[in-house]
Amino acid sequence: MQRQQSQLRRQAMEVKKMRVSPIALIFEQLESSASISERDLVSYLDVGDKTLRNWKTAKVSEANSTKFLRLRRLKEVVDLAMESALSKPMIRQLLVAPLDLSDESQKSIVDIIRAEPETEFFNQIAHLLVENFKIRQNTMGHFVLNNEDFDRLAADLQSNEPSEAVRRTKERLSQLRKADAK
Amino acid sequence: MSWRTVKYDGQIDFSAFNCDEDILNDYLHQKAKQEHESDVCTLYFLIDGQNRVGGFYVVSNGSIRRQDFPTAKARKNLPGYKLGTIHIGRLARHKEIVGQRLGDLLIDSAFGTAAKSADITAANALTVDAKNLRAETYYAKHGFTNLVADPAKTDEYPKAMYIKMKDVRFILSPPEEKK
Repeated sequence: MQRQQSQLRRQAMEVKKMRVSPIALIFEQLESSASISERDLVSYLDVGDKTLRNWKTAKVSEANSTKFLRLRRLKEVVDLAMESALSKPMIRQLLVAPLDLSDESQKSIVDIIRAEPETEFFNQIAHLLVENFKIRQNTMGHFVLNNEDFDRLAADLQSNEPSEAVRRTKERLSQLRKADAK
Repeated sequence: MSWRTVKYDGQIDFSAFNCDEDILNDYLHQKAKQEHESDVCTLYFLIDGQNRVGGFYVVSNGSIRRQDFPTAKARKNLPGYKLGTIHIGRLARHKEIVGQRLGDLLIDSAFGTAAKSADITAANALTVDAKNLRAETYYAKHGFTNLVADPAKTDEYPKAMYIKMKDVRFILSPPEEKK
């Protein structure tokens, strides 16, 4: 009993220490809200560059680092997946799939978190990936975003150009108005 | 022949209107006037110089959530709360008046109405529920996109469609001069 109490005290102290670091705070939120264990989270990110491997030792000075940004991105994706009612095993699969490690052009969400954390369109891309993942789950498929697709998507998001259908409509209706005015 | 759009004022005789679709005819002849007068929607007619009705449409305000848009591009820069929309409830042209591009005139008029309304109270998109494949094709031809990510997977109608208000404004803007 006494041993159990001291263990609980020790754990409480650890949690208190953890709260000093914003990284730890996000991790803690992730762990509790997504019901994902630390081990799982670390293993997800292990696929990338082991972002969180040393998260417990993170210093306050690291708050603005890429590491912190990547962690925030991870939280965004997990939150998004939870909003979309994905189960824990599916969230895990979403983060790491596709896992054809022999194909270097494939990107998992972890790859994107690792490589493109600062992209302006991260949220939109993550949203798209989660939705595609949901659709493809029904057919037991996997969603693969390769470098080319990623670049095309980012370019498309960056562009404010109207679609071809909208352009054609404008042309047709402009001619109509012109003819009507005569 | 010149057609113009007028908001229903109780004076327009639309008893002879027939668009060849019972649902739309019944709506116009039985419900449209009442809904217009009860502020459920606003009824517009396309009429010619002799006050002959060539078509009609009704519009109202609606809302949409960011996540309802099917593409990342359409969701770009949108907040998480509900966004205003303009909704085309019904739109139909007279079946006996052909060769005058009434379909184009009606949608052009609906675009104008939606854009004017969006200038007063913001609306992010113009939406419509396509009642059948013919309607879906018509709206797609005029720049609308299905709200469902993969519309080919379902044959169920009505299908919700949208066009962004910025695209509506682009369509209404004067054409660029060709150099």
